[in-house]
Amino acid sequence: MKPKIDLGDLQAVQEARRLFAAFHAVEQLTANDAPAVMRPSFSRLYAYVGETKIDAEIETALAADARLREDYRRLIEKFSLPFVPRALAADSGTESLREGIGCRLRFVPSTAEPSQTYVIIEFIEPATATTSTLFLCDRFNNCHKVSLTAEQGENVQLLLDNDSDLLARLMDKDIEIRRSL
Amino acid sequence: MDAQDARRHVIEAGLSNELQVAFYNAGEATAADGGLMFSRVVSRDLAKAVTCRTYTSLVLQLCHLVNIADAAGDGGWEALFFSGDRAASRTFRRLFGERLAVRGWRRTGFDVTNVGITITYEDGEFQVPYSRMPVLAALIYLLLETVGFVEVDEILSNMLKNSTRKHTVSETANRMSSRLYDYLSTHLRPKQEQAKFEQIVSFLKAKTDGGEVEIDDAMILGFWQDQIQLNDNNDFKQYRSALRAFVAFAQAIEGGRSKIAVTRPAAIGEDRAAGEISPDILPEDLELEDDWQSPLIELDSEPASAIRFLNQQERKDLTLIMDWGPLALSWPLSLLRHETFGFTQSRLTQAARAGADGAEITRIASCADTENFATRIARISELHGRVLETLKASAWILRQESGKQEAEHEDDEVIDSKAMEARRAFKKLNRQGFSEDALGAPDLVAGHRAGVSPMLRLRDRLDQWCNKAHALGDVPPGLGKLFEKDTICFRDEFHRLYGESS
Repeated sequence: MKPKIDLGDLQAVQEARRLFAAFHAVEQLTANDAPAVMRPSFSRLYAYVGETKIDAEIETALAADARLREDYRRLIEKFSLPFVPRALAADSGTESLREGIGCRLRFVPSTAEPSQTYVIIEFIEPATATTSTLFLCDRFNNCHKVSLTAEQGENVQLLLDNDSDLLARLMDKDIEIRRSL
Repeated sequence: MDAQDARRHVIEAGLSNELQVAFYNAGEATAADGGLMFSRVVSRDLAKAVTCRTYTSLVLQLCHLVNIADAAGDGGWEALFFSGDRAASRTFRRLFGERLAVRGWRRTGFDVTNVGITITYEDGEFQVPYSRMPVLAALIYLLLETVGFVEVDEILSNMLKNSTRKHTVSETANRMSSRLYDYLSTHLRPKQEQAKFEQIVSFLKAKTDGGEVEIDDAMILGFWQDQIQLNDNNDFKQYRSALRAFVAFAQAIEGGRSKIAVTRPAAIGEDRAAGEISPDILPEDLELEDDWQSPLIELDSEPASAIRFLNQQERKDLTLIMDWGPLALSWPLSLLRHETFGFTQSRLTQAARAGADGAEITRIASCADTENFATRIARISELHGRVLETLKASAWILRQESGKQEAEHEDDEVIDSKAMEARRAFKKLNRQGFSEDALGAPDLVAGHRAGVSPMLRLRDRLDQWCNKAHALGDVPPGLGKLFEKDTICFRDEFHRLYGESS
């Protein structure tokens, strides 16, 4: 049987009008069609903090969405540990060293290739030596993830171009570095 | 065609896209086993509570649950809700058991009971039953998507600093509810929904003499075509949106006829400027009298949810037939269009969103890849056989279970042909809940017992729908010609909407 409505019955139309928005809202909210514009779910973001790999789709979404960045920053603060704190008064001059908590970052120009710099992460305390991910966070909640391949008890060495964004961030004393749990 | 133009058309009015994304992200969250984190019944209950703004008591329970989660182990409340396990009562019972086994309660005042967890505060007690935990978990997923983690975490962290008083938890819940309310004021816009209702009524009036009108498949398609031609910024560019609006329209007509409407007549001249769903509409009002209850809901509920009666594809194919109840039988052709041409249009919007080139969009818009009606119906009809096999396998498990209690010597048992068939079906089925381990596992046996009735209803409804769908081919021009005619119609409309490549 097909649904019928008597459009001349004003009471029936009024009752349907009253209920329509609620029925329609539920119908739309429970439809499993992907909405027009998507963003990563919070549960995906939560999992991402614990992952070592970089997900380009999430990074793109983070770059475009300020609130997502705030949530991500908050997650990082809750589920990571301080590694190299932001300097209270950042120097503008180039430093070859950043002191961290149980670690030290040394920046050594490559002698073989002057356009590159070695970043040596020295683990002073053995407990920090299992770190697999670093989060480099600036004042605007931009947090860049860096995956490390650190063997227990060994230093990590990265060779970066002098003009690389990552090198600039690692050297920037205004950027807080945190490490995964 | 210009992909930018196509992208312009993907925005739908009505509920804000952000709210739809929030619900989609929460409802489609996947568990570690690849299944949905929340059952459909949980997602639907949450949608009703949000739509009708009746979530306050849920938020209160959630705040108490967060307090419990915080006291029951390390890793914060997040570790409980984002464990990766499907949100079911038994999951929470197990998770709390595991967390407490490691180090016990971090604070005093918490007690595990058979039905849930009780907190003894300085100023009273509160219990959160395990059975409520799945919907509370879905609610926090939604809050994190809508209000956002920073705010939610701030509100909850403040509560957890000193959560020894029930009053403090209530205040926190009020704060959280208030934030959700503010969010919904912006993103749930019933006034725009109301406009859609008027569009449908205007269309029906124009097509009839303004008296009684019977809504059929042709009318729904006609409405969609009209809306596309009327203006560029309409709410019904998607065929699926138009059909869903008609589903809600039919439900609203039925709901208006029910005793609810009789006992609570509409307040004529009600202030719509308030911009809310009328506060006297409750979630129960969205359950129609003599309402068809989808068997999928029962299959998703405990204890049946422990058994994988249907795989993901089967479930997907059956969802609308079961969810729309009598309307799926009234509008079999509309449902077919939803699943075939509607799917093609979804691909079009996705392609446009992804910045696909004009040639790709034109190719999709040609409907060359659209599943034809006959194939679709044949595929759905095949499910009947699979449902029967699943039922037989369940019957075998239940038979074995009852046999255990009656006979000590199974070897001597005479197995009739039906039982042989059931055993064969059981041996062939490789799904969760259908292994040898199920025999003797009380939870799984209870799941099979609870699943038989909804599976039988599902089978019957499937038969009814297939008969209706097959009947479409019995009248001229026949199913094949009908599909051809529809292909021309949808292709033209898609080209009108998304343009043609030069």
